[in-house]
Amino acid sequence: MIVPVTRRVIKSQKVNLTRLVSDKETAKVSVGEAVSPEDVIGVAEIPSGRRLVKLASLLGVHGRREVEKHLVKPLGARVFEGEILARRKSFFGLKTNVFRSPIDGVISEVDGFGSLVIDFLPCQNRLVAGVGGKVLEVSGKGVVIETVVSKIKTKVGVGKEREGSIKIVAEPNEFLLPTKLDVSCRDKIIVGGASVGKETLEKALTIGVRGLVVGGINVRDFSKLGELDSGMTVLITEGFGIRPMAEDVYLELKKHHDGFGIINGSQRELIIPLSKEDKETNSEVPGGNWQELDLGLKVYLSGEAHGHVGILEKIEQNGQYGFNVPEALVRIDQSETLRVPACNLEIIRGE
Amino acid sequence: MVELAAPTKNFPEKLLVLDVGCAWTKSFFLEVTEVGPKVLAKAYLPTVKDDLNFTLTHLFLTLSQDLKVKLWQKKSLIFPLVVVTDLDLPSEITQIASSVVSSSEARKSLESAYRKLRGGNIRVVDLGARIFNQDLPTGEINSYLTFPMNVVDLENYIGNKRLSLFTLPFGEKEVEIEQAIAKSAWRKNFVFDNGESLIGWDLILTGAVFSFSPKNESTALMILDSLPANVIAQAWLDANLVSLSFGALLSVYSQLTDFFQTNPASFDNFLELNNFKNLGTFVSLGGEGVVKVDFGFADLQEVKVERGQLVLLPISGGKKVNFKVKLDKKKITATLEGGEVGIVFDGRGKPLSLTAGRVAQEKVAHWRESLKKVDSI
Repeated sequence: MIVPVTRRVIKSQKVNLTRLVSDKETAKVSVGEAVSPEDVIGVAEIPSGRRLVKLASLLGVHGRREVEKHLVKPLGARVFEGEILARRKSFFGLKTNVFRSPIDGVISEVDGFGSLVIDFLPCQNRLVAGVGGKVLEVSGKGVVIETVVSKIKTKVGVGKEREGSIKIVAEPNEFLLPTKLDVSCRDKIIVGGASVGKETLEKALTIGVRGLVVGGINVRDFSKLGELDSGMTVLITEGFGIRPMAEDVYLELKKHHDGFGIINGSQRELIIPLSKEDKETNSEVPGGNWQELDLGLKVYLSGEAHGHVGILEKIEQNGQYGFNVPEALVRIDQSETLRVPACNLEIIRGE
Repeated sequence: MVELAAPTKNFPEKLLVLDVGCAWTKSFFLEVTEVGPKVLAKAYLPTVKDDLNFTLTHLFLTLSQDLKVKLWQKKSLIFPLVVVTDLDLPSEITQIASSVVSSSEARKSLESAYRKLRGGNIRVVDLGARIFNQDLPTGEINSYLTFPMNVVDLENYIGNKRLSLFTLPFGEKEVEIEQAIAKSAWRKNFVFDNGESLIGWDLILTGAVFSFSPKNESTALMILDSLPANVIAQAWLDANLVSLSFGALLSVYSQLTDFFQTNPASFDNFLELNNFKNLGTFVSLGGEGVVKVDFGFADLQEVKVERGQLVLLPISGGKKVNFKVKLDKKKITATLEGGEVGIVFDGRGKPLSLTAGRVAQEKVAHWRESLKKVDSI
């Protein structure tokens, strides 16, 4: 019988992590350079919007040409709030009409109606490395850093890649209630709980939580998060319903409380960069994501026996489950052995 | 056994058939003898969608070990391979396959051959794991259960099933949930068209849900709950899930149908050898009725079917009994065959309109109880 192989917790694995994915960002590091987590590796100028001023009307003229005649600053000039942008004399030169810039920005254009468009000054966004390691590649796609990380792989996920510090707010078998969240959760990756409801998700979004890692969720709440990004990335470690977060997953996350994490819904993973001193202990998974069942393997049970982890002790070919699927005997602990269809097992690899 | 003529030369003596479903891949190694095709070995494994080669390699290895026959030589298959699937196959597989057939094509070919060979009406009811990916009314599904379950839990069950379609239900409750989902899918996907004769149907039941149905009474209730009023149907359970593979063979090798036409016994033989279980005949009256049964005594026996009740006559397979029954205001005389369940008369209004809750749970439990096997006559 072949079954899926899951690596739910991968401790200390060397990876080539790609950072700086936005094409608006400019890399500030070069190949071969050693970087620390706090180093700035890229800077992006993010446009902040624009303001339209009905200048023709304010000056009492018509059309673009008339307005351009009265401008005292050329197009493309940087201007500051209060600075005179246009001046018009009237009543035989006795009265002067001036217009001052309402914002700091750049004069962008004068449109056909004689309105002046001023772009706000762009914001500068600095991207820190987040991980320590060696820069392997710098390209338009990003900066690739060789580093050592721990990974948490989950059952389902939604939302784009986000980052933040990890904050444990609930025990694995607790409900993640709205009261568990407060303003200290802003920009954080929140961890904990067996289930999260609609109210908690809404509160998390309002506060500005970057990511949420929880054991279970109802299908109807998960589907409302939608395929489009809701503004928060959510990872579900166990599946749908009330499902306490597995102990191995929780303990690993707890170890990195307050640490930096990169959460990705489409990859269904949370990456936790480790310090420079951490050495790689897990190399890439040999073979594929499926494997033949073998006695002595550590396995995870799904279905009614969900959540149990044990050692595969015996496989019996009695075929009572349909498809002639063999029955597996899994030792959970000294006193408990469970019989399940062998196809309901997943091999746990890693750690 | 009657000696039969060998199939035409174009038909291979031995071949492989793969039914690549969205959750499981079923593989069969067939030999075509003078008495028709015979499955020599079969193996089933979960379909690894992103690495179909992995599934196929393991299946071929299992078949090869069971048969003690080499299937490969110098990286190429020794025997012709027919594949039935609705998935996009990787080029490595399409290159080694002699034919690829869609599941609907395979089903139609089987239905067409069956009509030619046995006459009457036939429907292949394929309830594979893909039913779990359909949007089905959870309220209706819930109403088929004998225990309370809230809709949110049901949605979550289906959600988890979608994450790993190849898992099998574990425990009686999970079997019941999956059968309830299958009933809803059956009603949605296999409607009887207006104008179709409702009498004399044969149903071939195939797919994951039927393969793990541990009790005949629950399978019988699935059939009865899904049949519209005024239908008489004999049900065959394809316990080995070979139907679509067989349909694909009939689609690719048209001479196989000709062969069965010349040798009708070989068709029955194929069904029997491949574990097609005759469950019996199911008569959906749509309400109360009186059935007159000819057991061969001097007088006809009268069986009263009350409204809302199921009446089971435990007549075993192979035994045929004459009946007189009023269907759709017409008097009908029919010869019905028993089976592993028997002959069942359904006096319930159709379509069933149950509202999830304690009353529905009690009703379903009562119906199931009334279908429990008693000694066959």
